Amino acid sequence: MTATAASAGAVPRASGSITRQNLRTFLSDRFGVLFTAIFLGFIVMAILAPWIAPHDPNAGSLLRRLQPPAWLPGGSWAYPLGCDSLGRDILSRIIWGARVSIFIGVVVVLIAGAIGTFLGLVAGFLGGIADTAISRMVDVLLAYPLLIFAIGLMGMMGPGLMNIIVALVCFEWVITCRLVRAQTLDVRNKEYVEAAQAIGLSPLRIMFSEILPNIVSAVIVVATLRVGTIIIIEASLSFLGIGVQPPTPAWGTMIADGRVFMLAAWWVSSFPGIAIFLLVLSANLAGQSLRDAFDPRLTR
Amino acid sequence: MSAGRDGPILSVRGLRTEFPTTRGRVVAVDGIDLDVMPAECLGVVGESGSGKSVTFLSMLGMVRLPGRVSGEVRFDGRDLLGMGARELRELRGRELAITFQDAQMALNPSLSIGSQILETLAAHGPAGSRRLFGRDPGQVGRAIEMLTRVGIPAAAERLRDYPHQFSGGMRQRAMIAIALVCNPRLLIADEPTSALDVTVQAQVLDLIAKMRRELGMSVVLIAHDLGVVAEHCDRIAVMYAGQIVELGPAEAVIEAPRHPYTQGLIASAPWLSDLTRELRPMPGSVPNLIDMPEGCHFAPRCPFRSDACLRPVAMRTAADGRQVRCIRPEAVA
Amino acid sequence: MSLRTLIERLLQLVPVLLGVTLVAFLMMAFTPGDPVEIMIGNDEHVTPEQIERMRRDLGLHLPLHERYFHYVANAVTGDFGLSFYHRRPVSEVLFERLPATIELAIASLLVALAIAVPAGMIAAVRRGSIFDRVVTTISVAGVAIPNFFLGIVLIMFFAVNLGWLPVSGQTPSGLNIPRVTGFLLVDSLLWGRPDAFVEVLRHLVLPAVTLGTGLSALLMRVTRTSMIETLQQDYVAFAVAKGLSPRRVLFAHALRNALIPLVTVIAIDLGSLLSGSIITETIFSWPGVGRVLIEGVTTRNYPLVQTAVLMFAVIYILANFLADILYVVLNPRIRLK
Repeated sequence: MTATAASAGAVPRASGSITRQNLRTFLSDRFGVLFTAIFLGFIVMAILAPWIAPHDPNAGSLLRRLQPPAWLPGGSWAYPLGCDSLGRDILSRIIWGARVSIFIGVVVVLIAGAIGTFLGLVAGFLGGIADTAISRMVDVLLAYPLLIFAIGLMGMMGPGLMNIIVALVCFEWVITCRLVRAQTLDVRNKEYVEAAQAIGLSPLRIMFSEILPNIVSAVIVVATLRVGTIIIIEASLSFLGIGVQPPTPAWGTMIADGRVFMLAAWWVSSFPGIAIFLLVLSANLAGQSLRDAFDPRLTR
Repeated sequence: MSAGRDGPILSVRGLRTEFPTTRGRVVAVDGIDLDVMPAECLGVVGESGSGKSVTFLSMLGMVRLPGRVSGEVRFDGRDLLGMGARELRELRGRELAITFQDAQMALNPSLSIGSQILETLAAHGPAGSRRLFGRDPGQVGRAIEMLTRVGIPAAAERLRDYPHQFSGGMRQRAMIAIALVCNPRLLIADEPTSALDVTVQAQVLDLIAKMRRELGMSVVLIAHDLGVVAEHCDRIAVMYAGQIVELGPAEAVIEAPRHPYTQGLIASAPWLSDLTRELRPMPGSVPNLIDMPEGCHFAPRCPFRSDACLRPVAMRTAADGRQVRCIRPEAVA
Repeated sequence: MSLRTLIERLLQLVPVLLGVTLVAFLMMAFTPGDPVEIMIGNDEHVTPEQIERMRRDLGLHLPLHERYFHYVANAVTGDFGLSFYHRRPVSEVLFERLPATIELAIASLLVALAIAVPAGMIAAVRRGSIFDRVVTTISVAGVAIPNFFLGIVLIMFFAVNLGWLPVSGQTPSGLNIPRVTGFLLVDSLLWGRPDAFVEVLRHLVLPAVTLGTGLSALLMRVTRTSMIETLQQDYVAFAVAKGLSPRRVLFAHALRNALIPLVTVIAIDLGSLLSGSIITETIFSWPGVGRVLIEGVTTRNYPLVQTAVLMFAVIYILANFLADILYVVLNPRIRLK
């Protein structure tokens, strides 16, 4: 064991690393694979938005104001899901809106994940003052419900895409940090870490090449599960009018815009609502089956 | 009392319990025939996983779905397996009581000892007393009396205590008091000592023996330890992989075991074997209960196995009345 | 739990509360733009001297740590500054709105429990049945429905289409209940006005259902899992073996223990309940803290936003503290420790 641990590349993998067996378990869960596929479909749709959206999401015409979906009287297949109050194509706006939602969801989780992982490793591995300081910060931020914290920050910084990302990252890193810290404490006293310390590897090297590979699957799983939450928060902020600003198409704003026409034109709000539901549902279920396959320890 | 005074209080024929699982069918209880006589103490011995507990839970209709129970179980002449849920419920706790291995797990942590004993009385008391639950002075008196009889000091004051406020031995006593509070005719004591310190084990066994004498009830003592059973039981049934492999008077079975499994058990038990002889741990382990071979279940571990052991082996009764599930002639000699 | 541990736990709250005020303070301190200029708005008659005086009054000339010290000192006395828009103390504006928010939160919690506990319990008892599958599916899907969308759909169906329930607000216009506690359900009864009580209740239904649904999805799953675990305990088997009725086994023995973990989950999830209340209040024009917070954000009413956010955090902390205590009370095993 000691000999292998000394060559940092060939760390003996604990249960927290990713193996082929995990992949096989994951693929055997049909339901999970289906929803992962739907989630990936949303991502592809978001990336390809400029090419697959049938219309310019912001090109409106009062002639098409509140035009119903294609299958209702007055609808046309040129605008399959109908048009909003400014005559803009709802389908195109949903496709572009996926871009905003997923971009924010993924970027926030990635940045926050990186910050949280680093601070969590530092707190868990170094301990002492670093741990106390980081843990206190985590405790305090956890005392804020995420949406409320974000609303507060948005209120101070003003609306906008970048501000949303900053506001959410400011809180979200806490989630990863707490997880990584706990996992690091778990792994810290394993033989291979002690061996690496004994041969005098630098703390930074130990954290990243000995500890991190063994906890990475847990981090990935939790990050996946958080994407859905972040997407809902972004949609909520946009719905409240303090998130993504018009004319950028965002699902939350679309729902808010369509609210007053709910009786006359249900489709304006309903389709973006269904889109959020499907995206969040598939993100959550994909995350759950990833968790079951890769890190059953995390199951509540 | 259709069975009369001399007939068995509990009579089991061909009891079989199986659980379908994704990997195959598990036959946890595989054709048990058994009688328990009035005022008798029957010991049931076997390694964990041999189906001892499931056998008795099956009789009480307490096997969880998707488990399936078949066969015939008669308690005092009444058919337990064909009985309606309500009738069976009235029998449980009142005539047929059971205690579990670990009182810490078997007592509800968030109810006081008093209410756990009183609810049993209320459930089996006259209809009116159910509404008086916990306040009927007769029942409270009975609860205190029972706790005192099992050796809980200052029982009246302890009614309000919760299980965690009792010591391990006291909890075991309290559980026994709860089981016996309705004067049952049969007590099934499932591993009553396994969870206890050695010092307390003997006290609890003595308590069960004392209660048996005082209440005149029958006792089935389930244990994985022959030593526990040897001292207190009239007869012993040895179970292996869902079957009874040997049944006979306690002394005879221990002094002259006939089934190779019983012989192995005794050879590996430090209390019983001759101190001059060395302990011989039995090779192998209890087989997987899924898709059990047709023949003798013990054959894979048996030092005497032959090809004939691959065919089903029936229980055989020797001239002296002892029963053994083995084809070797010396086993039934 | 002894008084000593209670006090110890209370003392542990102090650093967290300090930290939370620090975060709220920093949020404001790093806000781009000058609060004074925002307060003045487009008023051109204000002289530079007046601006300077206002800055001094607000303590903006002081170094950051001194400003924080003043902030905490003032906060302890309940002084959180003036609401720009209302020209009244922020604390007054917020405390006025607090009962409406609490009323909504409690009602939503009750709705969530009323749905989740029976559903989760039956699903656990009939594990693997169709009912169980439906409950499990709903509990997964329910979390993914954004509650602002659900709110709109509910208004659409029950208020607009069917006309059974009011669209928004806390009372019908014209109904005036003099304020006693601020909780309209309580006040209407105190004044002996059952008609008003019914009206207030009718207004409460849709917002409470909107807010309660998301929570019930989670609680359903927790109840089911916890109940399944409890039903496998020896004490349940022992209760059956004693010959107790199924009802007594289920309610007195199983459910009682199965619900203990629910307390902790509710406390943890109170964060999303509070978050959700902001959105629900906005959709239903419910006059609570959440709605005033959003108004504050859109009108850049910084002291109000800062204090409202702080208020939610403090409520959340206190609720978790209470849940800790409740957990101990409900769980005799750890009561003595």
